[in-house]
Parts: sequence; structure tokens; C-alpha cells
Amino acid sequence: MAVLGILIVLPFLTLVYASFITAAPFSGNETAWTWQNYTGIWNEQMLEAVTNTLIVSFGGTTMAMGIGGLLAWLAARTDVPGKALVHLAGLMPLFLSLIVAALAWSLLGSGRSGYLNIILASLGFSFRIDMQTVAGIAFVHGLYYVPFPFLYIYSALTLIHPDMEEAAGIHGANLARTLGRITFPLVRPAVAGSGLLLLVLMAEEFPVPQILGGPRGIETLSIHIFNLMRQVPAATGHASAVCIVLTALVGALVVVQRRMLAGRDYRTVTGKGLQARVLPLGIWRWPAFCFVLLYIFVAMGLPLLALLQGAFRSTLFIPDIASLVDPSQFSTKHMRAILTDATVYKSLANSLIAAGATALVGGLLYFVLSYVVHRTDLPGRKTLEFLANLPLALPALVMGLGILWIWANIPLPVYGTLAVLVIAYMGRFTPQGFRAISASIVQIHDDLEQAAMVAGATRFRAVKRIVWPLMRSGVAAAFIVLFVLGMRELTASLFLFTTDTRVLSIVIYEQYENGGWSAVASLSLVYTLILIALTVAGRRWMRANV
Amino acid sequence: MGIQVRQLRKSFGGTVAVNGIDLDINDGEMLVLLGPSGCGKTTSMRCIAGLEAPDSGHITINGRTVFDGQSGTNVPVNKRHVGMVFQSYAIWPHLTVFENVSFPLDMEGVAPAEITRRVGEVLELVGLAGMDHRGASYLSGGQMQRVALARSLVMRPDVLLFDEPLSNLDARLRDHLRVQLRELQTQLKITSVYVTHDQREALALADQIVVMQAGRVLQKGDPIELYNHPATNTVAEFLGYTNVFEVDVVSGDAAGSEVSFKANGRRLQAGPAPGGNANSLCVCVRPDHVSLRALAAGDDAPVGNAIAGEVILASFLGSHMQYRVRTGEREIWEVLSADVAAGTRLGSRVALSIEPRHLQVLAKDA
Repeated sequence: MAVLGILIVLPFLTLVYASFITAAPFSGNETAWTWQNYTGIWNEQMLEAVTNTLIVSFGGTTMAMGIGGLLAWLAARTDVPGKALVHLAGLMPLFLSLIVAALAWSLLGSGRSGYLNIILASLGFSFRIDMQTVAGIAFVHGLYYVPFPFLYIYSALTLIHPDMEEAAGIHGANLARTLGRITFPLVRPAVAGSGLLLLVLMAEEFPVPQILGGPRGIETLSIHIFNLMRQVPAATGHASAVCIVLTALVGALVVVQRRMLAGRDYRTVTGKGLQARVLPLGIWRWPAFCFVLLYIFVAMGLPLLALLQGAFRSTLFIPDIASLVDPSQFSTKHMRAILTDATVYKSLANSLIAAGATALVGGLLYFVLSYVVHRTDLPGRKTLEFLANLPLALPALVMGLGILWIWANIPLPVYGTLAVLVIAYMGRFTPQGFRAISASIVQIHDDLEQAAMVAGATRFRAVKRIVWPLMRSGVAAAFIVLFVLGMRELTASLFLFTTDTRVLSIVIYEQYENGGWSAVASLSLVYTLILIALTVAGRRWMRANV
Repeated sequence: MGIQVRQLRKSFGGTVAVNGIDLDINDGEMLVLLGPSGCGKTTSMRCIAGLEAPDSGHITINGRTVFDGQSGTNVPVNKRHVGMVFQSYAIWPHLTVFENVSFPLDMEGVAPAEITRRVGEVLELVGLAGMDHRGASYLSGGQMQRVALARSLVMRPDVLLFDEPLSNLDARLRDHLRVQLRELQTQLKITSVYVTHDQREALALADQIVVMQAGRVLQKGDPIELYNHPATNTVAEFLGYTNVFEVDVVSGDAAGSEVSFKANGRRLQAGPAPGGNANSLCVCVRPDHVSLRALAAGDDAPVGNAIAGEVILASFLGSHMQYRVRTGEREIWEVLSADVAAGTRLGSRVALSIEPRHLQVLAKDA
């Protein structure tokens, strides 16, 4: 409880405090209480940021739900060719860190020098793609948040007992009516749940709007906070107040999500491997397959090609389509520069250490947490569960800022070390870690543990001999999820890194800010390869736990 | 010695699960807690095991107080030295049969050679000899049940608890294991508590039966006594008295009485009415105590303690025929007849006759 307090509640309270005072908290400057921060933030910029936030969230959610839902249905219930490929398509975007995705799309579709626009111009089209817009941000969101609805809806669809649909058929419903009256209502909670989750995640998203919208001055709420903090002097009071507004917005969405899911338990069966009925698509089989290929190409193929272009070109200037494939334009000098750069290795090591420590320490913490919540009747375990889910409503930027103010001013040698990053990651990933581990804890029947205690084992020995061994693969899955999340994390790190503790994502971001596009592309490629390697290594366990 | 439970109470957030029950289990006997789901039987047993902490009361196992609400004594589950067979078997899937069964001895710190010997012995006893190194997740339901039993027997517990252990098995296996359990229990003489909602299981296994409802004990006694003389209509219904009708006693003495059905005024000779001032009475009749014969056409008033009716269901059970006979307004009788060749079929007109002593007049539970 105390640990969660420090990890989660304290940063938030610090921020609430900061939003009511005139100077930065704990900075030693004289401060006074004020409402000014809340009244002062409502300028035109702020209103635009709110509008933009809503547009990118709703637009992106609609698109991701459409693609994810369709992929999930194709994979779970139809005879689409290449099922494995459909699965891969649904999960693939996890390989690509959003910062990399945003950078790649920036290469593809920003102004005249965007690769896609060069191709369009060479082909004689007057139409141009512009990613550096609100629509562009929503598009990238929509493309890369597909795994969430895919996983939720896929597992909901596979959990529907085929007998239920067959019963509808026997009682006279045709396919359309079975889908409409039985299948869809049964997966509605998964649809609603993942939809709201997407809204929440997109509303607080940082790298995508920053990289695509930043150059044009397009602000969402998180960008607005970041820019307020970057002003000289930093507008800490205003930034905190906007943080609270963003938290309120996100919090409201989370509450709605929980309401919609509470009391509607549609789990129909568990445990049995059910072979769901497969729907023949007929003439739609191949169009469906093409849709899957198209998605893979747009979401993965194009960005990777763009990164390859960016990384292995000798110059950034591209006059026409011919030079995109001209071998004399290519060179490995940027890649060599990156691979021989000590800062890159240092940051890679930092990333691995921070993510590894988060996975190990965090994993253990979440295990204890899940055990207490699900297996004991200690008072306050409901509160614990609530706290563990709280970070869902706390934007990463907000947590980063809160943690900065606390640890920068506490006389403990934490700030400026990797430990502060680990603290931030552990707090931020509590909901994911807690859920992943809880999922495997609740699968182990109470009786198994109680039988050990009846047989003379203390609780500790029962956990050690029975519960822990049975959960090993579940815990391993959670470790890997946490590790990958830690490797991908950028937003919370932004306020917390120092020269010595830069992680890989931060180095990429810095290169981007400096305009070093060749380095950005090379680094992104390396980063993506590492993430793919990690995800593939952990794929066996990933499926049910993201 | 044995087990004594006094004034046991347990509630879960406002709902009372066990409402002050007393139980006495003699050394080496098997007590069956019988009742519908939610009657508190499982909770009572879990309190004895130490898996639930009662709100108040007193539990003694073999002379040792394991729970006392007043002094705050509460011996933890792993120190009570009880064995328990779970409804879900709770066989640890990541361990082998041997590892599952040896676990309690391992916890006690028994020497390895002794462990091997005792596990071998007990596996032999339950008919699993030679399966030591089979992975537990590859076992069938019946085998898991035996492993669970072996795991509880191997520790030579002070008391052996069974939580509906046969309910997840198919009918044939259930009959088979029930006989085996009775055999083992009478042979080993382990003090046992067995929870079930199946009256046949209860009657077959018990030395003593306690019928529970809504957290209270309705009646206790040995199986034959209980089966022949249920105290109230609820107990009777639970023990398979399928014909229960509300009646008024018209007249009667210690030898017998005459009752009148509340629903339609039918008069029948019945057994003696209970003493005391029960507000409401029922006659309860077992289906095998009703005899059935074909009735000639036009004969609507059979002589003696008999009723005319029409067969509305006939179902062949092998050794018996089961009939359902409509005899009037809101009056349907269940009949179990050993005469399977009688030729009585759906729609037949029949006379049901019952000896007065088999029409038990019992107090009706509120």
C-alpha cells in the first residue's frame, strides 16, 4: 500500500498541489496559494488543444476499432486464407514503437519531400498527402492502436460457446440475425471496453502529436503541457493545471469504461478449447485477404521502407522518384556512424537496465499485489485494487512531472539515476502488470492452495510450492510485457532523464529535435529490430497478456 | 475424543451461513452433513478444517481445542492435522502422483525412505499402485479422486473431510467409488465428515446423518432411523419422500389418525399425528410405499385406504417402474413399483393403496 502510494498517489498529489501554487513545488521559492492557474489557462491555444485532443482520440479510435474489429472477426470466425497472417497483422504494430511510427510517417508524408508525395508527383497526380495535420495524427493513432481492439474482441469471440450460435440457428435465425442478435451483443462489452481504452490512451498520447503536429504548432493537451514546461521560465502552475484538466478528462473516460463493463459479465465458458464455427466467406475470401495484406503493407511495410530509405541515403535531398531507387544515392555511413557511437550503446544499456529492473522489481511487486487482492481477505484490498488501476487515468506526462518534482527535491540520491526512471515505469505500468499477473492467479483454483495448507503447509510454503510454480509461465509473460513496455517508453522519461541516463527512445527523440533525420532513421531501424527480437522471443506468452 | 462442535456461527457480510449448530462425531465414525446448496454444510466443514474462521463457537478435535470464539483460540489450518478431499480434487497439476501424495509428509518432515514406504502403501490401498510417476494432469476424474483420497490418508489425519467428492464423476464411477469409500472408512476407522446434497450417498456412507437447512440443523440420527422417521416434511422430502400433502387431522390417537387433504378434502387413514401443537401438518409418503393396481372401467371408488387415478407418466428404471398418477385437483402421486411387468401404461386407470402406517403425519416446517 505504501509502495503504491509512493509510486502512484504521491506524484499525482504533488501535481494537484503544484496546480494551486504560484511557483514550482518544493523548489524553495516563495509560493502562495492561488486559483490563477485554473483561470489563466483558458486561452485560445488551450481550447484548440482540447478540440484537437478530442478529434485525434475519436478519429483514431473509430479507425482502430474498425480495423481491429474486422481483423478479429476474420481471424476468429471466418475461413479467410492465411489465418496466421491475420493474427500477425493484428499484433504486429506492437513491434513498432509509436515514436518510430510517427517518425516514419513523417518521412513518408510531410510536405513535398515526403516519400509518398515524391512518388505521387512523379506519377503526375496533383493530390498530396499531408501527415503533419490533426487528421494525420488521428490516422497514425488509428493504424497503430489496432492490437488493443484486436486482442479484446478476438478473445471475446473465441470465448462464445459455438452452441449459442448454433442454438440461434436451430431456433430459426439466419446468419445475419445470429450475428446481430447473438454474436454481436455477446462481444459488446469487449467492443465498448477496448473502444474506451483507446480513447483514453490516445487522449494522453505524446510522441505522435508531438512529432507530426509539432513542426506546424498543432497542440493536443499533452503537447500543450510539454510546451508550457519548456517555456523559459517554465509555467509550472499552468502546466499542472492543464495536467489536472487532462487527468479529469481521462479519468472520466475510465469511469465510463468501468461502468460499462461492471455487472455485465458475459464470460460464457472457460477452460475448454472450443473450436468455434467457421463462416465461409465465399467470394469475399480473397478481398478479405487483400484487406489484411493492405493493412500490413500500410502499417508495417511503408514505414519500414521509409526508415530504410532514410537510414541508407547519403543525402536527405530527393529530387524525384528515380533517385529513390538510384544506387549511387545510397550509403551505409549513417548506419556506421550510429553503430559506432558510444552514446547509442550507453543508451541501449540504459534502456535494457531500466526495462529489466522494471520487469523484475515491478513483476515481484505486482505478484504480491495480485496475491493480496485475490487470495487474502486483508482489509483494504479493494483500495489496493483501485490504486493499482489508477495510473490508467494518469497520463504519462502527468506522472513524469509529478515524479520529477518529488525526486528532484528529496535529498536522496535517486534523481539523475536510472532508479527514477524505474520508479516512473513501475508506477506507470502497474495496471498492465497487475492485470497480467492477476489473470494467471485467478486461473489457479483456490482449492489447490487450500489443499496444500490442509496438508500441513504454511501459507508461504503453499505459495512457494504450489501457486508460484503453477504461475511461472504467466509471470514470465508479465515480465516480458513489462520489459517491452519499458523499452518502448518515452513520455514519462522526458522529464526525468539526464545526460547520463538517456534511454534509447530519448536519444531518438533528441536526434529528431536536432533535425538529424538520417540518424533518426538509422536509430529507429535498430530500435525496431531490437523490439521485434524481444517480441518474437516473448511471443509465445504475449498473446493473452498485452 | 472425536469432534465436538458447539454453537458454531459464521456469516459472510450480513448473510448468515451457519447459525449456531452443534455437532458430535464419535471416534472412527463418519458423519454426513446433508442439505441443499447454501444450507451451510460446506461452511461448517470448512470451519472444522480451519479454512474459514467462525464468528463464534467452539471446535474440539480429538480433545484439542482448535477454535474457541471466547478465548480467541484459532489453530491455523496447517496445524490442525486434518485431511480433506475437495470437490474439485485440487490435484496439483504440475506435480506427479507421487509428489502430490507425498506432499503432506514432506511438510511434516518425514524421512525420505519412510515417505516412499507410506506413499506406496496408500497408493496400493486406493488402487493406484504403480502410477507413482504419472503426471497428475494426465489422470482421469476417478484417478484424480483416488489421488486426492490417498493424499489425505497418507498423513493419517485426526479427521478426514470430504467436500462433495463424488459430484463431478459420472454415475457408474460414483456408485463404484461410494462403495469403496464406505469399505475404506469402515476398515480404517478414521473419524470423517462428509458433505453432500445427495441423499443416496448420505444414506450409504453415514454412521450419523445431520440434515441442515438455512444454517441450522433440522434433524440428526443414524441413517435407518432418519429414513424411517423423518421429523418434518423438509427432512422427509430430502430423504426421498416424494409425496407430501398438507392435511388437517380429523381424529386420532396413539395408534393412528384420520386426515383430510387441505386441497380437496380427501379423507385417508394415516399414522399417528405428532404430539405438541404443530400449526400445520403434512402427510409424507415414500413412492415405494404406494402400491398400484389396474382398476376396472367405471370403478371410481376402490375399497380400503385407496385412491383412484390416471397414469400420466410411466418410466422404466430397470429394477422398478416409476409412475406419476393424477388422482384429483392438485393431487399427483409419485409411485415406484417393483412389478415391472404389470402392463400399466400411460392413460391407465389405477387404484393406489397405502397402508395407514406409511402415511406419516409430520409437522410442516415454516
